[in-house]
Amino acid sequence: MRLLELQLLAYGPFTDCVLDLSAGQEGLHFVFGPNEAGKSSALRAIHGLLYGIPAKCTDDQLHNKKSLRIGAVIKNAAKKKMRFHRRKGRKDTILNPKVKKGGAYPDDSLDPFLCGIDAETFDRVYGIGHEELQRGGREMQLLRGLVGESLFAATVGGAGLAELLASLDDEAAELYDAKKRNVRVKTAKRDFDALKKQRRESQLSKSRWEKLQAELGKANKRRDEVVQLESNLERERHKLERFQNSLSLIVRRDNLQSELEELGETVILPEHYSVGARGAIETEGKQLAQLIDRLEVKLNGEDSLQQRLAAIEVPTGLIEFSESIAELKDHRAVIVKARHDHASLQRDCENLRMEVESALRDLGLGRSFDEAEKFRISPDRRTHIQTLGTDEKQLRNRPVEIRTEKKEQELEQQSLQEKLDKLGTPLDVAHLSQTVDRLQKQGDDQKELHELRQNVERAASEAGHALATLGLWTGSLEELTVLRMPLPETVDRFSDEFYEIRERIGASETDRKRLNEEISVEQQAINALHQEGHVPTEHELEQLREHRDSLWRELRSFVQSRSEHGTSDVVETLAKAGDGQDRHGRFPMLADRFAESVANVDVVADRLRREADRVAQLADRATRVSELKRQVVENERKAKDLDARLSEWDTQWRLEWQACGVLSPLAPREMQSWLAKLRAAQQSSQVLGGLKAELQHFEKRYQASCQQVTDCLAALDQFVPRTDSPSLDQLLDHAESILSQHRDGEQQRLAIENDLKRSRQTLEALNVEEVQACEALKNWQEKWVEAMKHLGADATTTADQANERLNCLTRLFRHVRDIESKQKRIADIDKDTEAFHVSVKRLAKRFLADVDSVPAEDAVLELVALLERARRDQELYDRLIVEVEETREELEEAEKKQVSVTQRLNDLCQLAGVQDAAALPDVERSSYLRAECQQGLVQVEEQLLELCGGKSVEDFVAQAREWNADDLHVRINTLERELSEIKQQRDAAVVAVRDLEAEAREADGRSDAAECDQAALGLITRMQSDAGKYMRLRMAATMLRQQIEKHRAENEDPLLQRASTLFSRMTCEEYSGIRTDFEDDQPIIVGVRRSNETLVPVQAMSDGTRDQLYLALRLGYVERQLVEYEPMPFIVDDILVHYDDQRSQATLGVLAELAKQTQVIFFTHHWHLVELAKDSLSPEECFVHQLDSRERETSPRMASSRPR
Amino acid sequence: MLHTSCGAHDHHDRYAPSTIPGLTSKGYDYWALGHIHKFQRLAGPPAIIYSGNPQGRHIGETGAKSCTIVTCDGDHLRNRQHSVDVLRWFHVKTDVEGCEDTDAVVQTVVEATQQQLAQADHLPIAIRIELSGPSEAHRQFVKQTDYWDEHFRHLILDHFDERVWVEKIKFRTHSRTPLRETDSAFGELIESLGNEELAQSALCHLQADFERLTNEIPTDPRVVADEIDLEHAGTLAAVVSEAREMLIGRLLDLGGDQ
Repeated sequence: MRLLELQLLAYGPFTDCVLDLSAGQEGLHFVFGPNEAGKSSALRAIHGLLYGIPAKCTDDQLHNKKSLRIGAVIKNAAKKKMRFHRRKGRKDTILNPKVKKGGAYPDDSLDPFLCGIDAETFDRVYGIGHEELQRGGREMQLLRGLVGESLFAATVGGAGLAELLASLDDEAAELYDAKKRNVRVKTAKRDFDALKKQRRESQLSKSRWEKLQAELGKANKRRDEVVQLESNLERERHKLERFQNSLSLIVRRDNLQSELEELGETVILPEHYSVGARGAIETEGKQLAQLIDRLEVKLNGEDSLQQRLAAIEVPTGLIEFSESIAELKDHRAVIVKARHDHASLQRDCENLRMEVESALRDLGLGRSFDEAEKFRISPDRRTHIQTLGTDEKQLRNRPVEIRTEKKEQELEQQSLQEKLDKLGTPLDVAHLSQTVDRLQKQGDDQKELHELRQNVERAASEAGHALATLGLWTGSLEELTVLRMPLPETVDRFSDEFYEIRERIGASETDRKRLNEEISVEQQAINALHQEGHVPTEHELEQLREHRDSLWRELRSFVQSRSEHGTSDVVETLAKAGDGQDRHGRFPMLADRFAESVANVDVVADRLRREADRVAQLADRATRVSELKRQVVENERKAKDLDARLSEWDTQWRLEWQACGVLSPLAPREMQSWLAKLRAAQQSSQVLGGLKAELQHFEKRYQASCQQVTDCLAALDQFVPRTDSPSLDQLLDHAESILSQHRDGEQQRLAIENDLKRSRQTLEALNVEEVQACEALKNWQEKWVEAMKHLGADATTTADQANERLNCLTRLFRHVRDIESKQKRIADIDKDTEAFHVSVKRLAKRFLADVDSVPAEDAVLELVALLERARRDQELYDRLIVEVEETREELEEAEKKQVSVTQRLNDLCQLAGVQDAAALPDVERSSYLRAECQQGLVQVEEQLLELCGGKSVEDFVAQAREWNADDLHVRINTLERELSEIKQQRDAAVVAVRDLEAEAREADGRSDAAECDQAALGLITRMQSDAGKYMRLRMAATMLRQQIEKHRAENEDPLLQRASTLFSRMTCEEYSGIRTDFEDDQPIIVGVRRSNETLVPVQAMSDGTRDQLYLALRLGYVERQLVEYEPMPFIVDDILVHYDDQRSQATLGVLAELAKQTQVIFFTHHWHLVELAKDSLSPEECFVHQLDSRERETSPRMASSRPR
Repeated sequence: MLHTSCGAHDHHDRYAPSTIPGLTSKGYDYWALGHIHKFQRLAGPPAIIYSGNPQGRHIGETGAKSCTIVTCDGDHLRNRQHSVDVLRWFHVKTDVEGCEDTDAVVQTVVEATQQQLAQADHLPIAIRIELSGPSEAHRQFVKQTDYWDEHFRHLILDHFDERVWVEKIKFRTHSRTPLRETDSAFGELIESLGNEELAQSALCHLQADFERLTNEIPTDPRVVADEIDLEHAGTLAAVVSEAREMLIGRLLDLGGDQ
């Protein structure tokens, strides 16, 4: 299969990019693409095209996954072509490009082109890239050149085989190795054994458990006893310690009781009676009396509040006018300022008036200020005048411009008319054009004719070859075509018959041989039987019996003849004979003979019976021999019949063939294959005939076409090519050039005519416009005169002058407006000053004495000062009134408190039971002492109660009084010693119990055992799983090694031989080749250096050389595959990147050679490699294509193109 | 009460065999049978019942495990199953056809496990995952079985915490587009790897080693040793087939650049 065209319609960075790969016999096609040009995408596209776009496709950057499309035209070895598109998907991905939608080819429609080459094989065998080549080189090194492994890796296995083998082995060895100790399975086994042991130990025997339980019971009992004893002692010691502690308390209790008796009957003040409170009440009473005295003085004494109040006087009504006075004060400030403004405003007015009058004079509009008003311009009129001014220039210039344009148009018309005249009259080429179109639609007749002729030549040579190699028959191709041969069925019939006869003759011959052999065997057996001794036969017995019977008859007739003489005589004769008396008589002789005969018969009969086996054997064999002989005769007869049939058949056979001109036909089978060859030759001959007829027809058509074109050209009186019989292409080219010239002329004429028409239209439009422009100018001038009147100017005033005049008038009226506003302000000031004077006088009359002599501004200031003073006096008066009120309230409060203090003192006296408050301190002191004693007693009794241990205090005190302090001390010391001993005993008992319990717990290992069991089960599962994995890994490794060995055996010799040649070429004959050597009894590949014939192991080769070795093995294998299978394109991805120029050239030569057998597509992004190829290879061998997704175009067959 | 093999059972020893008519003819009201670890009501009345065992112990004893409570009310007998197990065993058999990649397979396994868990009456479950069917993920699984084994275990732990324990994972998937055993180079290689002779020759080579290994591994009736039982006819065939798949997977990885 080869790619004639690769269309990257929508894939990766490509859109509608087409690579034409049809050039060359098979062709070495360079696809050059700089970085980012989409080289890798194109590589993936080829794979996707043939085997489907993978589900996880990364080439959807530009086009979405659904719209990805790759197209191609492919051709297989059987010359069958197919054009298709491939889309992404699972089913129906091969599309028919001629059908718009849903036109999918069946999924297996590429099978006739791939011929069983699956995707993996295509990738592995028919594709090699730079990376793989490098890995392959390293692989050669890792495999130390081992023949089997190296061949396998370089052909089907792929680089990385050494690593794969090592990983399989290592993974397995980690799991298990019979010779190693620390492997997973064995470690797990040891762990398992340990767990088993632990489990056994964890399981407790019954007797040990019972013994432990008994000991534990005893220890518990002992511990309880000791604990009991200890607590008894502890109790006693505790009791004595309580007595000891209570002794001092008892003494204190006695003392307190005697003190209380001494105090006798004393009142105890109630709890709410407080000594501190009494002191406080007395102090408060004293302070209150002092306060009341002070307040009295403040209110009514010398310089008191009342006296100060009486001294203050405020003028009546002034404060109510405070607001008016404040306003007047402000107003005064305004009036003062306005007086200043008044003078300056008057000056300004005068200045402005002078300016206005000067401007009026300048404009020539009068001398007085009052005349100005006549020339006031409204805003509408101003705008009107300005607009008219703006239009002036345009309206005046337009007619002039139009006149210039008109002149230009007239000149242009003149020039166009001249050009048109120059073109002359057009030719009538309609007929020629139709003829050429029709012929072009017919297709490329010239090419077809050429192809047809080639086809005829090829068919003729094929048919001639077929005829020449046919044999048995001679004649021409024409005769061959009409030759009638026997029908295949007839030949089959003859063949069947012939082989049937031959088979029968063979069978008959075999039978004959077999029969003769059998006869000779039987005969030998019979002879052997005879040699063992005579064998009696039935026939012999028969003869002897007949002889006996004849003797008997003779004897009887003899006796009968004698008996005629009397019976007694017979008897006598017999007796005589019996006695031997008649020894020489006839009777005795006869009788003897008869007796002998009877004896002989008996002997034979006996032997027949005795040697029945031998007899039967002999009889059987004799019968068998006769039967065999009969068969031989029969067989000979049959053989004769068969010979006759064969000769009859031969005659018929020859007759059948002689009718067809075959004088000496061969055997039917040979004739069948000859007939097939003949039919092929006939078919070729027929094909040739058909092609010739087609050619003839086509040539006629071709000639007619040529004539038509010539006629058309002649009709046009055009120059016809000078050759005698110009080809159709030449004629068509000529006609095409005439048509093209005609078309150009027509286009030119049309353009000029259009221009002329346009120019005339323009001229007319300009005329109309000129009239309109003149009219507009006139209208404007009338309006301008009218407007100038309002400005006091004449009609000759220009727009600029009018504008200037307008501006002057504007300024003038602005001054007039200023003067008016200033005059109004002066009048306002005067009015305001008058109003101020009236207001001031009205107030001053009321509060000031001499009103008229004081100016209004000063009167205002005096009123302000008077108001200020009145305000201060009023404030002081108000404050004093408040103070008097507060002092009175304070005095009343103090008097009330004094009454309450007296009442509370009386209450305290009542509680203490005294009349006078002075007696209170004594009562308080005695009450305190009694309370103290009673409290001390209660505390002591409480402490005693704590020591009583549940008994009443009196009983406890009575018991304690029985002990003296020294005896108690001695007894307690004794008890402590005893307790210390007992505690030691208790600790020992507790430890004993704890130990026993621990032992029992340890011994009671039921749960431990279960856990061990579980862990052991887990280990078994793990070991099984590991073992499974180990078996799979080992199996995989072994199968792979055997496979490698098988592959080696099948491929070693031819592949190494071819690879050796390729390697030598690719290394520029630095190596004369490769061969096998042995290392550790294993065959390895070594290189043979040409210079000194030394052997170079793979490890000693340079990286590049190793790569070349890998490539040589691969190419050798590919070549072998090409012989056996459908050739597939060999895809190469930049493998020469690290080669020097010399070796690159050599390798390119090897690839070019491969390209004679199959298409080679070489992707690269190094232009120098392309240059190198162009230098070293002929243009028929190498074709360059440029790939650039950015440009989105390709240049097919760009042998001379340079990258942009 | 009788310890017996009653009726036909393929996978159990024929221990003290008996028949249903034989037992019925004895005239008892109830037969409580032992030996088969699975609840089965063989006949009734009179009821002949295997109560099964109270707790599944390995993947051979899947589903709910129970005891049978029989109540006698005068002449009338009633029996009912009463679940007593604390953990249940299940096969999670997942057909991964239609899964585009390993992520999809993972999702399917989690869903299937979820379904089994839903049937376990709130008990924790122990599962054996068995992936089968054609899938794009097949190559990944055969290439790095250990990795995926670990991955699935972690995954189940992440999803279900301690409610689910994975006993074993069996990868029985195959390639969606089976590698064609064509007569081209790689096709031949694949075909050769499937060759019975090659397998037999490899087995002869390895038999002794395998036996040495399996002899080292202890056995226990509670652990089913079907994976390494060399006596069992299918074991070596399975080893060969799985080794072949693994080899093909790894060989495919060694392919060219394209």
